[in-house]
Amino acid sequence: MSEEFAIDKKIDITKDVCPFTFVKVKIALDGMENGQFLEVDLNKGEAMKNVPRSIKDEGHKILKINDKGDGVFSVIVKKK
Amino acid sequence: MTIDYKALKEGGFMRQKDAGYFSLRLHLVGGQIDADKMIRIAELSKKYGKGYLHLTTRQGVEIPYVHLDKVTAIKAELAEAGVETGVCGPRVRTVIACQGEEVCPRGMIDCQDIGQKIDKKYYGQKLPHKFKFAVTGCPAGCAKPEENDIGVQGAIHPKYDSDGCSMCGLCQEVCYSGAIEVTEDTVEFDDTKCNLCGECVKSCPMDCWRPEVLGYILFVGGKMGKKPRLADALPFIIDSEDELFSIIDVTLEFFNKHGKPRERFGTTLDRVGLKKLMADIEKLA
Ligand code: SF4
Ligand code: SF4
Ligand code: SF4
Repeated sequence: MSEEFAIDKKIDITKDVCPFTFVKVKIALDGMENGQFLEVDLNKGEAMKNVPRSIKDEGHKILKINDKGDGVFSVIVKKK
Repeated sequence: MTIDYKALKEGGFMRQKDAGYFSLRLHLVGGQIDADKMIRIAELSKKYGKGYLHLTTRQGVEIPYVHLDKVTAIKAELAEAGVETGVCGPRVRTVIACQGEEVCPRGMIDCQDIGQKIDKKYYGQKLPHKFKFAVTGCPAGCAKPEENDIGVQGAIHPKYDSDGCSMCGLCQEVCYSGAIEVTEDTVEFDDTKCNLCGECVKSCPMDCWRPEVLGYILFVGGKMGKKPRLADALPFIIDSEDELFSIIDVTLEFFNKHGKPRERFGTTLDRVGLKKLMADIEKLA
């Protein structure tokens, strides 16, 4: 369903562990303009429990979370 | 020369195996201390002890190997640095606390602030036996509320409002207790499974989960030691700081009234009954 948004950048953190998961998201967002869209692929479990929440804490907007199957979710973030 | 061990003990001087030496317990709250004070304590351990500090299992600091002759001198120097000595014996001991909402993303209450207030109000108060407090920010329970005579824990009772919900499923993912089920077009909440952790509230991108009640869960009667006993949780959320302290007051009065000398609070509760304490608490309302 990600085609609903014009994604500006995509990252995959399914091979990373905490805290690199969130650090990578943060670096990706830091390199973007306000209002741009980032798509993050992450794993169910630890990453899903912590990363979206940290993104919210930083003030960015999570627009959508898609279940891609096989325990992977993609999170669409709008940079604040 | 006669030595008044009792007076020494009240001042936090723990008698060591080695004759004439004490491990000097300091007064800390929530395991936090100003860096300059810590530097001063380290210096004094070099001057009066063996140049090392012992970090206790309850977030305290002790200076081992202080000789009896130096007791007055080290106390004076500590006082100058604004550091008090701790307490031992049958009284309210060091209050431990996690970093709480100020620092930890999972925290729901300001544990350091609550810890300071508990310390201010009750520290050193005499009771039938030693009495330990712990303050922890969420059900992760890093400060081990169930192992203390009184444990305070942050709690959120959440409420779902479908307005704006995108059915993204995140709340179901973050809920460790399986209290939330997100289907195609509904979000189901099973109140009975909720452990009040507040994760749904903190995570939902659309703010559909809000705290209906934000407050404290009180654990009573926990202890470790030779006969461990985990604390009982009072079966309701305390929704204000004033109420929290009124209930703690009642609990301590209860212990003073019913506790036998040298009986830990948990044992008193087992003997007299949690119901009786609950009845006293209900009289407050
Ligand atoms: S008890 Fe909760 S708030 Fe406190 S440190 Fe642990 S996870 Fe954080
Ligand atoms: S996290 Fe929020 S938006 Fe997503 S399904 Fe749960 S309530 Fe709805
Ligand atoms: S407060 Fe915690 S346990 Fe209760 S529904 Fe929310 S996430 Fe689940």
